[in-house]
Amino acid sequence: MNNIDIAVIGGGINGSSTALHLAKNGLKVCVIDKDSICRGASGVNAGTLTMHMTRAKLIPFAKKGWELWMNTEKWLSNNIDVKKKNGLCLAFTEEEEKLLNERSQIRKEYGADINIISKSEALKIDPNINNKIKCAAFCEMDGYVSANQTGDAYTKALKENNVEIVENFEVSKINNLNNNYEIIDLHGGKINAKKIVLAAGVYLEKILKLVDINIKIKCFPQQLIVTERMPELLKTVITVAHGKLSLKQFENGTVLIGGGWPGKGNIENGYNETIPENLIGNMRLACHAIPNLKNSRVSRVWLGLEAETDDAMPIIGELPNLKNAFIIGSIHSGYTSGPYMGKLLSEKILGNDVDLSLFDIRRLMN
Amino acid sequence: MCYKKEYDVIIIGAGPSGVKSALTCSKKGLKVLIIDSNGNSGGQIYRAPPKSYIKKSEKTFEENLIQLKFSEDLTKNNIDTAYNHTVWQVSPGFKIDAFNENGTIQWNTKNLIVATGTYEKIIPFDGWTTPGVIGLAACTILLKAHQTLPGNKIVLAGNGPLLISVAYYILKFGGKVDAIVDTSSKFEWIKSMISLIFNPKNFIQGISWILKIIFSRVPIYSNSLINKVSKKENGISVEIQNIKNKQIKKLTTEVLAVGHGLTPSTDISRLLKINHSYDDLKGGWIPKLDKYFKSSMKGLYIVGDGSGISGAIAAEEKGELAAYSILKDLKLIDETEFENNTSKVIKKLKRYEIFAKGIAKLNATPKSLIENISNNTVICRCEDITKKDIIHAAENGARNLNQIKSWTRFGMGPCQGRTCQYSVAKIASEHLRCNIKDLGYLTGRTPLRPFPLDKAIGDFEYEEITKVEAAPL
Amino acid sequence: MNLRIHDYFERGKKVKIIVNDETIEAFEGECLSVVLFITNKKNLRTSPKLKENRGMFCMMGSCQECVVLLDGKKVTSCNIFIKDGMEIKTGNLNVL
Ligand SMILES: Cc1cc2nc3c(=O)[nH]c(=O)nc-3n(C[C@H](O)[C@H](O)[C@H](O)COP(=O)(O)OP(=O)(O)OC[C@H]3O[C@@H](n4cnc5c(N)ncnc54)[C@H](O)[C@@H]3O)c2cc1C
Repeated sequence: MNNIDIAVIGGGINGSSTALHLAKNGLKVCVIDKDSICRGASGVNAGTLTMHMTRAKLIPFAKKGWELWMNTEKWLSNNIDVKKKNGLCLAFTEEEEKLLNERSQIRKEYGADINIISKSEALKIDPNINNKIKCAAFCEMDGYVSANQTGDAYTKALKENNVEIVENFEVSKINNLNNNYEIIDLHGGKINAKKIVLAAGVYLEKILKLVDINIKIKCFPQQLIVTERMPELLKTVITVAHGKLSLKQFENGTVLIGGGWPGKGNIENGYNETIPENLIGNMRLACHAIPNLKNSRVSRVWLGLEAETDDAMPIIGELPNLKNAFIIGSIHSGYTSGPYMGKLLSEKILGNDVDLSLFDIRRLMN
Repeated sequence: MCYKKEYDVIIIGAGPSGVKSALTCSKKGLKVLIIDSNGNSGGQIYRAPPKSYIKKSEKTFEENLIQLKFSEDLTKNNIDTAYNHTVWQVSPGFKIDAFNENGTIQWNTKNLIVATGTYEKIIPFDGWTTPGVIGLAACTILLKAHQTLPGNKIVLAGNGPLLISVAYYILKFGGKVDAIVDTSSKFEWIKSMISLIFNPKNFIQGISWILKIIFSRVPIYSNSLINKVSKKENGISVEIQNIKNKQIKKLTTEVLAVGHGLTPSTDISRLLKINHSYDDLKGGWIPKLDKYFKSSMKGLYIVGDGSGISGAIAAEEKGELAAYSILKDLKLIDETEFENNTSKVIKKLKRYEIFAKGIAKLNATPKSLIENISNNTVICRCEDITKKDIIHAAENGARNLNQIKSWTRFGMGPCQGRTCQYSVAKIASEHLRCNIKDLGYLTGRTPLRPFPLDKAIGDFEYEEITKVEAAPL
Repeated sequence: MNLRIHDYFERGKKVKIIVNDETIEAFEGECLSVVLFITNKKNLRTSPKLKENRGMFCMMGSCQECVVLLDGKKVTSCNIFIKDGMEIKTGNLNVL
């Protein structure tokens, strides 16, 4: 493989989005993945596009991401299911009501169009929710993507834009030669590129070591639960005040229960395992929010690994002390904003003036 | 039954392999629990009749006698049994989570024997989803456990020894077999009979069954497959095609029972991330085990057909070997006793495995079965995924089963790909012209069976679940 | 021809169950999927996309094709045993 302008290491939503925008701007790009495109967090996440769970400071970015998701046929492909829905965030106790008011207010200050509504208004919007709620926060900017289709959609789009896809290539060494990077995998395979983008998800800490940068990236194994196909059980995307539930029903009738309940897992051997008590806690919360949900059967539980920096903010931008090397990752609710963050980074790489100071990696290097 | 929380050994699956290992362990004083989703011991092959059936007189048949002996032995040896319990999760260490009609339960053990057997391999064809088309294994369960003929007229199709045994039982119970449609040739049968010499008992039984079928003048279509089935007003129409000369014969019947051999149940070994290897003659993917059926995970054994298809008698030997290995690890038998006990069993097992291999050749999936699947045939029954969908994913760049799963939704329905994983792999490897091994296997996932949410959550107060820490803002 | 074999076992007492508003006779304790199959109620569920009829298939609790609604809940009928007065619904379970 010759004359690669940019090699993106890690073909998740962040790496693939960056690659796609770069290719659309005429660069010769390749995406390298140790597995296949969007088989990590980006292919197994809950696919919720909600403002109710987004970190306040990231709301402006999530909003841009949301808009991109609503128009995938324009920039990605037409083979991914995206649905706009109303979002309701519920409070069941007085304490939660207070929390919901506070949090919604802060998110609103950062640009989310969230409003507190009464119990009766909420029940009108979605009669399926538990009538024991105290109040709810409402946001029209919500919805979901069928995340399992991410790999299919991005593979198609990348190919159409002449991006080279290199799968099953686990990068284990990066040599910085003059004006050129030599990327080497476990089996000695080599790819040369003028620039590199590190987008390795939870493996960012490991891959940064290859270019002598040492920072801590935590790995959170999270569980997701899906039911079999059911008749209509809810009309909205449901979240709760303290943020430990996300609930929605796909067009095909299956209901996805998420909310970041931890399982066990590590990045060393990719082993992961559910924690039954946490599954049950998550299911109880879901059934409390939508009482009729309890008549369904769970058909599958799985885990995904999410990356987080010490201050829980993303790292996006240039790598210090290296030329032509960039990084993107550790973005909370990263699936929602990934397409936009990738676009931002691509603009930076293309030399345009974008402000990424909020996400500068140097803040994490002592 | 009042269960303990912790057992020395827990066995999942009360078929011949599970029962044998339970008995062997308990004889040395270990506290053993055996779990099964069926209502009794016996597994699928010696499946017990429903609880309400009362045995009439002395008149009986062999499978029933074996099952009764299992029940008696388990009781005599004080082995705890958890029937009607479906295991939905197994975690290392080991924690076993199950549910039954009333709710959920968790048990702990340091030694886990997985004896969950096998599923039937059924290669799709046009109309295989029509109600009235059932598995050959399903047919034996109807006959032997439920004492019911599936219909007044039955066509049997597929390959391997189950064809003969099902035909025999239908005739024995007074039913009518319209035809036997076998993908193998008569010559292949004769070849495999040679290996039967290693199992004289089954050999004699097999011959007597075949004679009964011949005397009953059941038409046998060798070298043939089912091309198509369609619904008719009072039955189904079955199109039989000769693989060699492509000639077609049409029949109208009530029920079609079809099966193409067995594939090991690897749900739990895949879930626990044990390494697997591919062996078509053992039914597909099988966990990597030592000669005592111990896996690479401490305390985990996989026995019976789940460790590779080799039949009921071999299953007992496997269960016994695993039990000895546990007894040795727990220092309840010494090295000499272990060697003495196991060497005999290993010798017997070797003989049965030669026999099993001969049988397996009859059940090898002929290429013609895969080539015969048309583009619009449903492969994944749960999600209505057709051959075309699978090929489309492969053409778009999906290169392994998990990828094909997430791009098409095959295997995402309530059966989790148990029914179609084998066929999808065959179709994809044919299309991509790659080795089936390179496609890998579906990642093991919980719940092992669809898990009713109401049972999972039980009764609870809202306050109990909200002890979670709020997500950061 | 009676499809039930009575040579080896005595069955439970005769009871009635209701399948989609129709009453059927069966013996107590018999397997539900088997009773439905031999009384020519072979169509149990409707498949999600093609809306095809599906019925009993594997009899081992694996394939999930024999699901019906019992007391409003999805169950695999191959491991349900007949009780007097059971009410069963079959058909389009996904939109029920
Ligand atoms: C269970 C779960 C649910 C979630 N739900 C939501 C949600 O509802 N909404 C939302 O907005 N966000 C959600 N997220 C977060 C979101 O999924 C992630 O933020 C996002 O997908 C991260 O994308 P990424 O591209 O950075 O990482 P990844 O998707 O993990 O991609 C990294 C890629 O790098 C590859 N790689 C790693 N090391 C190497 C190497 N050495 N050589 C080559 N390739 C390598 C990996 O194979 C992988 O494909 C969820 C996350 C999880 C885990």
